[in-house]
Amino acid sequence: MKILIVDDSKAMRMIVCRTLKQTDFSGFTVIEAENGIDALNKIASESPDLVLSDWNMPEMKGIDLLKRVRDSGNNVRFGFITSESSLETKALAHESGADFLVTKPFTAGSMQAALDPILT
Amino acid sequence: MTSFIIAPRPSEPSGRDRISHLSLAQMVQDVLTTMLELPHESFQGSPETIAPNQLMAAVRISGSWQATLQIYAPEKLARHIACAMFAQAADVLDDEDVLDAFGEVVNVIGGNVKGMIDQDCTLSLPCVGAAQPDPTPTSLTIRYDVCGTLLTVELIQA
Repeated sequence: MKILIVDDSKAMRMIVCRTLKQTDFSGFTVIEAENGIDALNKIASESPDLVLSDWNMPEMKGIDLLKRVRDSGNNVRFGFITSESSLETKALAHESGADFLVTKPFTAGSMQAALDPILT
Repeated sequence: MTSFIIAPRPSEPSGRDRISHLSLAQMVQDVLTTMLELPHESFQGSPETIAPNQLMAAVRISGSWQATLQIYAPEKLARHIACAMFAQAADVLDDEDVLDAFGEVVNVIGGNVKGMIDQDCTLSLPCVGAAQPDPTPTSLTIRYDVCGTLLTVELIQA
């Protein structure tokens, strides 16, 4: 399984990657993108199985990335990992085709709970 | 990540006390505990104990509810935070890594604040840079002793 982590913060990309390794999931490889446009290119070139994206990023926000992905007919599994935890944000993510939203700060447990329904 | 000097903001009276001291403290504790895993305790000292020439990171919440969240800490603590986030020793991290990590701390707390407000608002990208802290106690302020160094969190509603 190939997982694309999208976040403009290098530190947060490392935390997400480290947390993934603390879950029960194994056998995945991680690729990274630092904004939505970078992610679109990586999705096209790498065909990830799962995208884990931040919401608030320069160049292209996570929600716009998701809309672009879905508009292109790509149904890759897509989750947000974001500090933006309002009901409005969650509703918009769901309506736009996100599989889940994990709120920062997160634990391996919360990551596991979000991924379990779509990876098992 | 944008890096620039942030001018201190004058305080302004809070219009609506949407965020309590307790709720903001809980958000900060969650970050220190869950994301950084750094030992910390509440600090009750006076503002005069805050040293000048610290790093500051800030995010702005705009919309039907408006506020600025800013954190500041000595470069030593910011580097310590970066070490925790990157899980790497200080000597392998550069200044950009430190600014990135410090900015992400304020971004996470700011996002949590925005989530608690739950109104039609937007959250800015974090800005990080050097700043002289405003010595006037004006807004919702929380201080933590983190690894023996002071982390200050301020919410300015305006």
